[in-house]
Amino acid sequence: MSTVTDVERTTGTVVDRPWVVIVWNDPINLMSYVTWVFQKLFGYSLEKATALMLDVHEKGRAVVSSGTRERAEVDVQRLHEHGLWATMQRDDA
Amino acid sequence: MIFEHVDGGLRLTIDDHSRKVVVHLLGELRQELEAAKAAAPEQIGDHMKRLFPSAYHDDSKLNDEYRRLTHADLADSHLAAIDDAVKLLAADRVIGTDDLERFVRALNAMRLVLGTVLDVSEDDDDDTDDPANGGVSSPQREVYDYLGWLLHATLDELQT
Repeated sequence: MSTVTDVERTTGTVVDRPWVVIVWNDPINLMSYVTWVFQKLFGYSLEKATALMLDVHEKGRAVVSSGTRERAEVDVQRLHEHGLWATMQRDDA
Repeated sequence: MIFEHVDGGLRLTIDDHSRKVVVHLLGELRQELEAAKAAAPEQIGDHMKRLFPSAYHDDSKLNDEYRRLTHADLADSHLAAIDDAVKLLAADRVIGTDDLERFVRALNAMRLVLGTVLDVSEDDDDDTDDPANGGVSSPQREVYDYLGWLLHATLDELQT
């Protein structure tokens, strides 16, 4: 019996979509800390890290990285080690 | 400036009382983390959950699996940052930039737990430590604000 996953593999409709890592807003982390974490973990410039931090703060969330599921899991775990509230999901764009 | 530049690195110049308070809090957090590490993820106290977030927003099955695989490692990572921070808080200790990075992680972990206990929200402002808020929470709020100041100052040093 074919499963949804099998169909997805055949059609490529889902497996080709990358995973995205989302950082969610929280009222405790300092904005300067969040910016620093983005620079440190992802090598982003101060300008890019600040823009992402402001997205988190003002829009409630921001996509900070994307790629394979394995890459996303590594990024989520590193963000959790730094105390940021991060989740991962398939890119719905 | 809370850091003095000396040969071989930096020296933290906060007063002895503040140093002892932070070390004491780190010790308490260490005990809480050891307990959280030994517990099943779903049994962690609410005040510690910010240090063990979910990884999948809408998929409890994947989330349970992620937690099963990463829970102990995440606890160990927090514990290592705390242990390093305690060493860095020793008087006259000369520290480097890599040391500072672990120090800010430990400070932030303390703020996350204390902020959760205080139920800090986006609406809070600097007046929330008003004694009128009462009793037990006011000293905790002072410590929370102090940790925020210390974290901010350390981040400034890292980015100079």
